[in-house]
Amino acid sequence: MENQTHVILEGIRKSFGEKEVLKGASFTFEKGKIYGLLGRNGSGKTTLFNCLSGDLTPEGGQAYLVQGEERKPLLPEDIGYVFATPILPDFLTGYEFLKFYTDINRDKIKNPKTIDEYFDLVKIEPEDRHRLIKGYSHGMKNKVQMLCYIITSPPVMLLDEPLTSFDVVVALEMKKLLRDIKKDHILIFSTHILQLATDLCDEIVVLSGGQLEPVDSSMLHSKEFEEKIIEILKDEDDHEQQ
Amino acid sequence: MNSSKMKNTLISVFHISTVSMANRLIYYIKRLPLIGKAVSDGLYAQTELKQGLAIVAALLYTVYRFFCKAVYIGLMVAFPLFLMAEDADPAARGAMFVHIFFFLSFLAGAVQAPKALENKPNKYICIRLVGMDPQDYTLSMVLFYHLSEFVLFLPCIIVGGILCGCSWVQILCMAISFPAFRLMGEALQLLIYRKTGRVLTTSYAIITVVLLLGAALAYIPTGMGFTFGVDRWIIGFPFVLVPIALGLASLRYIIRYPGYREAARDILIRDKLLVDPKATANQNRFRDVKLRDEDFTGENLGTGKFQNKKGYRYLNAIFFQRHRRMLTLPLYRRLMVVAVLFVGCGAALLLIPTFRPAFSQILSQLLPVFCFVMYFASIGERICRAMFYNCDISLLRYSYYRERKAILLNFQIRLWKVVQLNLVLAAAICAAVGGLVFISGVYWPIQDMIFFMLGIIFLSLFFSVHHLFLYYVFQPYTTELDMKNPLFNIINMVVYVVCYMCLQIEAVPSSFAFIVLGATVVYMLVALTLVYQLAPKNFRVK
Repeated sequence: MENQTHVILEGIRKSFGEKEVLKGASFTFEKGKIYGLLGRNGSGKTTLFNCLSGDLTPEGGQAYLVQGEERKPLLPEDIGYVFATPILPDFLTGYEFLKFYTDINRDKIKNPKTIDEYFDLVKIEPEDRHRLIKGYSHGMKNKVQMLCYIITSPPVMLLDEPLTSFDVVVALEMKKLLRDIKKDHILIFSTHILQLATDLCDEIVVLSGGQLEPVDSSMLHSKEFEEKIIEILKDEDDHEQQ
Repeated sequence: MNSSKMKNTLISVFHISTVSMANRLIYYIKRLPLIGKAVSDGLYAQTELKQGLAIVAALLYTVYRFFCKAVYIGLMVAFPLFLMAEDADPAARGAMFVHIFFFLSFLAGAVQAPKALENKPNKYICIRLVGMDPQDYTLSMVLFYHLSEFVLFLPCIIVGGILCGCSWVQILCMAISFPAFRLMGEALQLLIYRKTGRVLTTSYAIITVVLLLGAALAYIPTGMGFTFGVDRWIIGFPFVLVPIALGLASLRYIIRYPGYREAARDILIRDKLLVDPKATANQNRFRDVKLRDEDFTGENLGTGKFQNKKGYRYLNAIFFQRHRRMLTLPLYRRLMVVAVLFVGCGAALLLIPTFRPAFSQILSQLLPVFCFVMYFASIGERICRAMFYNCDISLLRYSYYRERKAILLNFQIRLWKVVQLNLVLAAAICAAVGGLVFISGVYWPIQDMIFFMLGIIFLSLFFSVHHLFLYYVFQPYTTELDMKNPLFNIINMVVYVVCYMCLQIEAVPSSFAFIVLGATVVYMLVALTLVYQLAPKNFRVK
């Protein structure tokens, strides 16, 4: 464990107006695993991601990146954040965007490849590479976004509902890709689709009542798993009322 | 449709539209400084209070509509009438009132947006979302609308008519034929829609032509002192019976029109209609910087024209290339204007000797005027909006784009491009003025000329910095395309007012050029310092 990489969240708090969304969320994530962050609609999954990525400033708590002996605050540049709705500049072609991206991140890229090789990796066809992003489908934009982080390989990758927009074929490709890269990263992806979580993830974390709770991973493929999750998620209503 | 059904429909519609007005009112109150904080979200659930607010909102809206009509008659009919026919006798003036009002409101106004075929958020909500019967809804709203227009216009017609010297018969005839013409317009549009499937008033070309034609027919004859005798031959007794009969026939057509359901199905398309009016307004703020297909035509997207550039230089090179409609094209247009003015003034100076002393006089007044001209001629404001809308709004989501180094490098590249473009214009202006001085042979002290040209160059630098500085330091836009920063507007306003005041200077002090040089240099230094200090922190999507 000494040379392992972890991300430690300690008491992350965030509220919007009177509504407290994150009430001191704490957890430790380890490298080499895919974490499924489960939560009901509005439970604060995206808020948690935004707090980690620096898009929102949490009111309390801290996130740390531990690499071997070194423990430092988790910085935005340590994170690759794939948004639920991909946001890319429309006026560029996919190729141009990737060229720009690889140019400015040159020093972070360990084994540089050509841009076409990168496109091959996520199976974007040659004729699509020189089309404007404006005309890309949701799934293609998502692929480009994910590709960016495969290129720069930040220690932590946050994926906000990533596979919901893909068709079955692409979803399968992406699942395979995520499994391929997981050994070098801490992958956390949020979803409210239970089946996707059990299918892809090594660990399940439930965000409920503003807190993070682990679910025993040995149960992951057992029959009771689903019932257990539902039970935890339903408890949220009770939390709210307290 | 019987009247009780219609009454129920109207009550439901008013309930929906006034409650949504009340919600909007609460929303805006909540956004007010100080007071807003005290209002809790619970207010939305206070149904009784909201009913009160809804009634207030409905009353305010009615007063507002009435006020608009009064202002319309005052500004568009009575005011021009008094300008054109101040000395005419009351009877002639009365006839002119009828004439202008007839062509503006009866004819041009009647073919304005038909109520039955409108595509408005409220209609969408009532028919598509709430599921009201389109036939009932449309007919009720059309009849109510025309009735309310009549009731609100009536006092304005009476008061305006009396003040402008109309006889009681003229006023009565206007009052009864007004709704008749409006109903004819509505019925005509329904007829055209039924035959061709097209809503005439969605075409801006047709609206423009009809409006211009109406205005021309209204004002040109009266301006020349005659009318077509509208008050006698069209809406005078007994001829007025014809429009009344046609109006009644139109009413019958509207009531029995069978196609409201199909029309609602075809017209109420969600994509063409932004249900949130605020979102529409926000969209409009960026409408002129949206990229169009023609911005990319003639460009081979595959080849790497800028392949030798890297990183932010590469990004901006492509950005500028694809935004030439907002960057280089405006510059060409401005250069054309300078060229045309140069040729025109040059010819005048050569051919009309008396123009020379005037020109010599103008020269000393020129720099203050250019403070104002350069405000509009400089390229900057629009391209900043394009930068936000087409580029930064998406890239600012990424942490690498928000790094201090990245923001400042990007700023430098963009500033340099804008400066280059504005300097070309400044050079052209300097060359044109210098050329004119040379052609005319007018004496202009060399140091005055140098200071004038330096003034122009510094003004163009100033405005280049100004817009980018405001954008980078205040970044006023949000992801919803809303504008949030009041300081942004205040500074912009102050700069505008100062430039405008320069225009008002009558005796130009000899030190004016120094003031311009000093002020622009100080502003630019302050602005650039602020950008380097604040932009890395402030340049975010809010």
